Amino acid sequence: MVMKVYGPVRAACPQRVLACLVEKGVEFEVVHVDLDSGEQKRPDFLLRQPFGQVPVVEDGDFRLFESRAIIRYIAAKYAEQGPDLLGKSLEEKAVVDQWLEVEAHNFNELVYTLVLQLLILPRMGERGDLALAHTCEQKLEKVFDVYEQRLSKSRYLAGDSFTLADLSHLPAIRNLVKEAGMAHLVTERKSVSAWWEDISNRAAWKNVIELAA
Amino acid sequence: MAVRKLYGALDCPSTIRALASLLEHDVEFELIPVDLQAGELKKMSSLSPFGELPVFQEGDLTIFESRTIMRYISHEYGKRGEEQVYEIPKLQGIAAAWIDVEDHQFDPPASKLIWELVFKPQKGLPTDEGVVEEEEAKLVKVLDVYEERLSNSVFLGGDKFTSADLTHIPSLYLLMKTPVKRLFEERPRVRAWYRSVTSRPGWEKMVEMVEKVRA
Repeated sequence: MVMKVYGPVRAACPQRVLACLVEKGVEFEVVHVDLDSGEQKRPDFLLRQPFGQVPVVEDGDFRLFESRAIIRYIAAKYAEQGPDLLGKSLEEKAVVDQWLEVEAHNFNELVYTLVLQLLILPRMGERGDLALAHTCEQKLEKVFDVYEQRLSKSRYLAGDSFTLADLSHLPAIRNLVKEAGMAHLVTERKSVSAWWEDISNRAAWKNVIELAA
Repeated sequence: MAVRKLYGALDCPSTIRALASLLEHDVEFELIPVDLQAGELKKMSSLSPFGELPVFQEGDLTIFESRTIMRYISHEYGKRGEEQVYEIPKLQGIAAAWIDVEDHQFDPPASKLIWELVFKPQKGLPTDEGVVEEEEAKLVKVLDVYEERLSNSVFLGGDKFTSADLTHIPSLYLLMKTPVKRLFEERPRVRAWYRSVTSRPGWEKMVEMVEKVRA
């Protein structure tokens, strides 16, 4: 039975899960959820995800939410196929975990707020807070400086190979670069640029972008 | 020289999380206090590139982010028969999801309430009752989900105590000394859950360590 992914293909968190599924060569079916009409807050969806958020996956009878928990699960369940996204030793896994946490805590909130103010609110006909967006941009400059330092010593965030830590950044950085006019955050940094060039050209990610087009 | 070091500040929730995990697993380590008031954090930038605590070192491994440290400890140092992780991907998947639930749903209102009701008074700053009311309303929604979850599951992550429960320890420790405690007491399964978490030997050891510093 094919894994179902609930969520719009255009949203960042479902894309995180889709990228992982494609990397691992796992068949899936996307079940669209209409966020604009608040489908995710309706009682029948709340049975799937009690906080009213996407994505949710259903793997037969097994249901899971929280996109980073889902990608950990997929990477572990399908450890024997596709690229190793987790790391081998416990130490390697810990470093992957560390950069996943960094993405969740130091990176994601800033990107989300910036995209909300610059893109989502205007699309909904409301004014975005440009000062807030600017503050986020300045904080992101500092975060990307740390990434530059890290990537000048390490080909990928957690080491020599592409892992969940890199994958987890794909949707947000794509939004920054392609939609929010923030490409300079990447292009002004040599190692970050090289890393982004590499990970964003992976066949699996390009596949996800095609699905979302 | 200690094999394992934890750099942290015992009045920081994230340090308490890492500490709780180490103590729960009976792992020997040296706690190296970092004095935030004295600006010692700046000295740590080689260990903690975002300037955050705690940092854990074991041999060649240096890791930061308290939930990373917690995950690593739980996988590396599981006590036989009392592992705080599952081997089966589906079961571990669920436990991992509830670690993230604490992070993304519970922690935002909990940490704002801790700031208003614990840290601000300590610094002589006035509590903003409007914020307290707002954040309690958000926390109530999360605790209602927990109440429902705990009707299907003995612990948040599954049928045994896991990191999904342990990760709540810092907030439980700090919030139980405030009126927010009533929100946990009012929900029978949540009440039973938090009482179970706070009566574990690891909890006792953590409280002892943290309060010794305060004394």
